[in-house]
Amino acid sequence: MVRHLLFLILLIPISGFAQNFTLSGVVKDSASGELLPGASVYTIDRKNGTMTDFDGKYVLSLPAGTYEIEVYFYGYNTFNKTVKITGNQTLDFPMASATEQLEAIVLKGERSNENIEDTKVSTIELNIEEIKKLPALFGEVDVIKNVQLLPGVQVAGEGNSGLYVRGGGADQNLVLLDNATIYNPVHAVGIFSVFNSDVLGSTELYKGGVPASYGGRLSALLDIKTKTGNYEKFGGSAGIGLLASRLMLEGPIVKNKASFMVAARRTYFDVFLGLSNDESIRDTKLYFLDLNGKISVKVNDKNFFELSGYYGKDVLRLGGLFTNDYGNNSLTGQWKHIFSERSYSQTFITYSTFDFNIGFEFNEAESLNINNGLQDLGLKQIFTRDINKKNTLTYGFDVSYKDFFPGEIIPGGEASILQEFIVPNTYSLDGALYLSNKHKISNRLSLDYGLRYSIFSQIGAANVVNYNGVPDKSTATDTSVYKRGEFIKPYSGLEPRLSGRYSLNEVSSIKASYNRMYQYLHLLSNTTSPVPGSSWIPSSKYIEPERADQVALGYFRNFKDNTYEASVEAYYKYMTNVIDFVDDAEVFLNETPETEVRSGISNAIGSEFFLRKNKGKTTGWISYTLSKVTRQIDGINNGESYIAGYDRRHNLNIVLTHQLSKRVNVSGTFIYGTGRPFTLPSAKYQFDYTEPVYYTSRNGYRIRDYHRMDLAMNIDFNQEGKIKSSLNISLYNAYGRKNPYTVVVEEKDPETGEEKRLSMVYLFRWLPSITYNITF
Amino acid sequence: MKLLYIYRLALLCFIPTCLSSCIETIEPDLDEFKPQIVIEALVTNQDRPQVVKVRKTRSFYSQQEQEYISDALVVISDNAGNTDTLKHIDKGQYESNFTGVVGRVYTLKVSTSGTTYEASSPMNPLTKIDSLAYVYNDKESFIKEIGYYVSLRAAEPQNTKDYYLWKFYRNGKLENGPEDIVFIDDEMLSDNLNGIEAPYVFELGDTVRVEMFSLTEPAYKFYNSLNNNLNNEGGFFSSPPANPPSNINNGALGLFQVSALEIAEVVIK
Repeated sequence: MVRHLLFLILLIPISGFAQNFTLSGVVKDSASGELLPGASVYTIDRKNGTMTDFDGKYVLSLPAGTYEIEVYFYGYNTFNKTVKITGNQTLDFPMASATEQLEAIVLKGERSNENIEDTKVSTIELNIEEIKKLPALFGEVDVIKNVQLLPGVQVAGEGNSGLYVRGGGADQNLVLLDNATIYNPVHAVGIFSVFNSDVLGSTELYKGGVPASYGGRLSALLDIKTKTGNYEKFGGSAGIGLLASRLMLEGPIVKNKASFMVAARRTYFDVFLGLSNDESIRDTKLYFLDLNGKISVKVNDKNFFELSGYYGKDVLRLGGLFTNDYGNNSLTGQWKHIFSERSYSQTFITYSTFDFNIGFEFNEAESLNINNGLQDLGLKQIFTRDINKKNTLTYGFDVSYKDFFPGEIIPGGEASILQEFIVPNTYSLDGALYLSNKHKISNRLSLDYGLRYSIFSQIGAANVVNYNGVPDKSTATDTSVYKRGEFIKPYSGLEPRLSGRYSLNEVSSIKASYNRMYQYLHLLSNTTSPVPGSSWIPSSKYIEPERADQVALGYFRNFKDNTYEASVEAYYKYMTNVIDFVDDAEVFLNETPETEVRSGISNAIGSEFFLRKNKGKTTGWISYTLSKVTRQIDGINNGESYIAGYDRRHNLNIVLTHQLSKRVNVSGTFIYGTGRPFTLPSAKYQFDYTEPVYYTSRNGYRIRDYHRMDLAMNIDFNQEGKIKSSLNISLYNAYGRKNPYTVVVEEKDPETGEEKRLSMVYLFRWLPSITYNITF
Repeated sequence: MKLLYIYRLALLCFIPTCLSSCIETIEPDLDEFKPQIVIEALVTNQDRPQVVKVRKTRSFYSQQEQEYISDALVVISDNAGNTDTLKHIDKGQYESNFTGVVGRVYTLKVSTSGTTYEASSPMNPLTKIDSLAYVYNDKESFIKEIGYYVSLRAAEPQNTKDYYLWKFYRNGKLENGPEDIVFIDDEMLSDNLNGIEAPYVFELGDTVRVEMFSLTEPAYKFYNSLNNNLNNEGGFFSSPPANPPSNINNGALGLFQVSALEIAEVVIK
């Protein structure tokens, strides 16, 4: 009571002698020393508060007195400190990462309203600590598998790691690792992504409202940044599991000046195949490998350098007869220069590649190798500047040079009857200029608006076939020869981006966005699933850039003091120049892909419902998406509209985590999706000695609904000591649902006389795994 | 660019995903579909009957026999002024005894139930089979068994675009399995066909007959599509499943194939 009165007395302005002092400092991670931008620092009575800037610095202006200061940042334990102000003071706040469940954190203050306040509509930020507790296939935490649990992101299907966001295909997402594009971010035929969860720093998925500083794909942006090595002390984490293991090490190179981070992950399915009785199965190699590394250097207060790289590989070797290797590699160099408190610049040089190889060895004398791949070299320059308290300007440019290698067939051995066949490389040059502003118009209204101008052209050297009409072998006329570096067919376009947030009150807001995106690269893949062997091709004389216009509108509301977060969002996306293969297309190694595809339009519409519980012993979310996506392309399905292969009318995801005790945590996920569309036969007939089937319409049927439940249990040991360990036990597909990977027509059995039938191939039923994790 | 062996091996790509996978028969409700007419016609330059089969499609789950049309009017004419009406022999099969000539253009007309289905095709030339050779394979591998493999010896003309189709017979019986279409287009080939092997194993004492047909481009496209249709495994290499494009009008399925035919035989001794 006395304290309360004293407090009130202190608040009475003493006129004439009132003087404000500054309390300033940084908010940082107490373990790694990493500075935390966007943390809330405020007096407990909320009369004074601020947020740390991009350098983790805060400045509070307070009259003399004693205050209880509270510091809040999501994922960390809230920090409280009583401070007596008698003059200007500096005070740093070290924040401890919240390894315990959220119950320990008192969520009060502006920051917890982030989903309401942030202009970023249709953006979801994922918390790695939360994700690590969810059930994992083969014990491997997979960021893309978790992203697939969010509203608006469709359940792709069994064995598919593609992201299908708001009616967009898996090839329409820009997936960045430290700003370098990862072209085929999947392992093991789409079962896992290439992202080792141990190296993730931040992961953001933009389903809409993509900032003007990014472009090149129609649908979503998955922006993944690896974590920076600890500047102060060595540490790391490791995991050993039944089918996969990983190790991450980090630490200072020069204390508080430079740090490193390295990580490796390998699966070893083949260890179990070695136990087989069959020699050809025993002689099989099947694994994937991910290596990540990063060096960060704080040269001085104003300059920061970082070099990060990724190397990935998938290997399949079948008894010396067949090999299949593929992998993504990327390298990013970053220079961040701070001009002042209010403005900084980031320069990125990125290099990424993708290679794919298949080899056949018929016998000692004859072999065959098929290769394809691409290289991408880019420069990205971003300037960020706070014009004033209400406006932050972002502007810059991107430039990129790409080299596509569609493929070659190399026969080996003297007796080969086949000739070497090489599809010539294609090259492209593209660039973009952008300018955007984050504008806080009033307390209630914030807008983020910008414009991107993008340019793209295929460049020589190239021989381009000309056609008289729709590209086809029969309409080919002559060939134009282009010299090296010569522009073949430039395209350009303006891409306006707009998103806004209007706060209705403290707990609810409305958000809306519009964006136009151009996609200049196209993935040639058959409709079932994007497999690593598919080629990327540039827009050319006969294949125009794809374009999408998307609008989204949402209502966001928090309940019970931010215990519950809820939202309803609706979107409509209209796309033009989307391509699809014609019937019997030459899917592989085509010198003239323009003859195998046709282009048309696609319409996607949907609504997303989301409810999340953030606090308490039980946390989790439910998301439900109702959507439809169709295509209409002349020359396919007789020019009639058809359902896109990745249309899933209903999609429900339930994720629950429950803290059973201090050490034990159980979680479960349940996923349900409407069955996949398939092109199935309706009749059959005799032709000579064969029996072909007759298909009516493309994607005219839906196969059985997809649903599965995964369970996991995490047991924490030694959370107090230096070495923390835990055991994760997962069960994938807990009730053994047979979800189809694909559907095939099985031929008439000559021995039993059993007629032709349809069969579905399914992958995993009841897959348990145990992983032992340690952090040190 | 289709390779003889690639489709067999394509199935191998499936194996990594089949680690703990299974296949299960399903019976989704398929559309009730009106039977469509299927015309299968072959005209060659060999001294054997020219055959046209006129039949219908049946529902996917049907256990019954194929329906056939026995009262159609089937006429084949050429651009040298010849016309021939085929005679119905049995179960929708019509025959005639003229011999085709390389270079001529043939037209087929099938009239039934008030509709006339028409197709035209030239007979493309064909290189001669010089001889057949055979070699004994003593090592078992994924794609080869222990036994004899027969290969061709023939020249491949470099100044024409050629398409080839093969059928193999063992002791008079067709060896091609019900999904095996053995064909190639000459883009990938050098100046000979030497070493193209029949993808089947033979035994000592077998009489092996090789039939080689010349195809036109529409016929090649048909067989290419038929091959996809029969071997669609829904994964990696598969094109979107489709109906083989017929060269016959009015919606008839099937093919009017006009081919030069080379036959060669060898006995494995």
